[in-house]
Amino acid sequence: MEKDLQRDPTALFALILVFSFLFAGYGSNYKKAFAEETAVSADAGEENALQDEYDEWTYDLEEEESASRIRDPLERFNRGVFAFNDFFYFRALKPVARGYRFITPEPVRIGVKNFFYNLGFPVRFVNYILQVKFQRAGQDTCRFILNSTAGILGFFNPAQRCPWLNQPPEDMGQTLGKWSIGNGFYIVWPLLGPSTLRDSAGLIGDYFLQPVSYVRPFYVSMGARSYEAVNDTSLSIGEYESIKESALDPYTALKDAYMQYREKAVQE
Amino acid sequence: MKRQSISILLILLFVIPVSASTPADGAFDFVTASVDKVLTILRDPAFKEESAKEEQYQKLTKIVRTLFDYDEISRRALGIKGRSFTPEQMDEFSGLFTRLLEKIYLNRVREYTDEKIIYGDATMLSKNIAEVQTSIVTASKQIPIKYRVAFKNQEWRCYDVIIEGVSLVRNYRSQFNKILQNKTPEDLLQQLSEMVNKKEAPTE
Repeated sequence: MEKDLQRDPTALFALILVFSFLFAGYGSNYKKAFAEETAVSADAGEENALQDEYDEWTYDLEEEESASRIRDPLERFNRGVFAFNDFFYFRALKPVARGYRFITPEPVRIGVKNFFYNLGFPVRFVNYILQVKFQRAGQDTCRFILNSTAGILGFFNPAQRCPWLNQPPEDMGQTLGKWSIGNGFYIVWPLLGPSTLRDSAGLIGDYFLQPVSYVRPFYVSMGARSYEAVNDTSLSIGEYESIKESALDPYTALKDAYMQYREKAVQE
Repeated sequence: MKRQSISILLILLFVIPVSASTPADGAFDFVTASVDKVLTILRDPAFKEESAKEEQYQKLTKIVRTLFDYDEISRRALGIKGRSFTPEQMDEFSGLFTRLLEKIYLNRVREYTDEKIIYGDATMLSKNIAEVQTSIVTASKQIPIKYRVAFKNQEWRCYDVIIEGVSLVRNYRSQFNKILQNKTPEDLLQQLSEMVNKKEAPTE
């Protein structure tokens, strides 16, 4: 669910507007953020002690040293937006997606998902290049050509049968991560969901690489985005619910899941 | 001459059993056997009846208990914060957390509708820790699920599940850490028991 929300920049305008406010907010939160950072490093020291304690777990804990610790100076604001997104999901997005699911057969919905994924080819291609992954760029180009032709504009996915054509997708946030740019801090955007300062900057870059962004008039482009979000949601109803249901603190659970998920995406 | 025969004997002694079954194979067999057992029960048409659900639940619980090392999971999920727990609190935590995980795992697993499961590789991460890769293939996507298993007391046990790169244990640890920042272990136990008991109500 968080992926779908994150990929869909319906509120890009709001995003850019709010940005200036955010940086101002960060400034005033500097002291608090700094305090949190020092607390984190103390915590990391303790993890070291833990590592000594359980020798046999060395590998695992070492890996966790690089754990997705993220500063969250905007926590109050973020929790507010999280509550809003939660409300929006249950009261608007999910009912609409359910109605849509009821009237649209699954193969069609999967076809639509394939179509939008195929259309996102420029985002992936540019980011493979920016990450010097030329082989993957070539493989993804083959995939794009195959699915656009034999797959009839990308609605079908004949490339699915060749595992080497299906590379993990890259976006600008991951590229920035690859370039050793830190996450900054955690942000929850209205409608878009969990993100970080770095990934938000990435979203703006990706926006300009998305063919859908150039559709005019503007509301048609937005409509296409919203439709993609509804279609994706129709295929993943229940995922957000199960994260929420199994969590003691859903906000923290989703934040950690997002950070772990992105950390892995940057690595591969 | 004698030395040679001894070395040959030694080679025979050590190489043959090792080549017959590497530790990674053991981990792989453990995970696949457990998952297969779960799948057999889930697919068994005898349990399709509403009245047989309770029996199915019991059987699944039994398998799941041999699959997961709940003590290890509890210890890891608390991490360093576990030190502020008294042994009694730790036991209580372990018991409650086990019940919560079992409920969640079994509820999730029962949503299974004959999706294909693919078994990938098993790799040793250290001397006695292995990671077994599996994926579940749904109509619209493939979800990678990795089982982290450790060899302890002569048997393999799973101590973490990593779904799409998200470690379950780490995810819970982040939540417990957050809660314990401002609250006492007692408060956490309270919250946990409320959650477990809420879930104790008949599902669906």
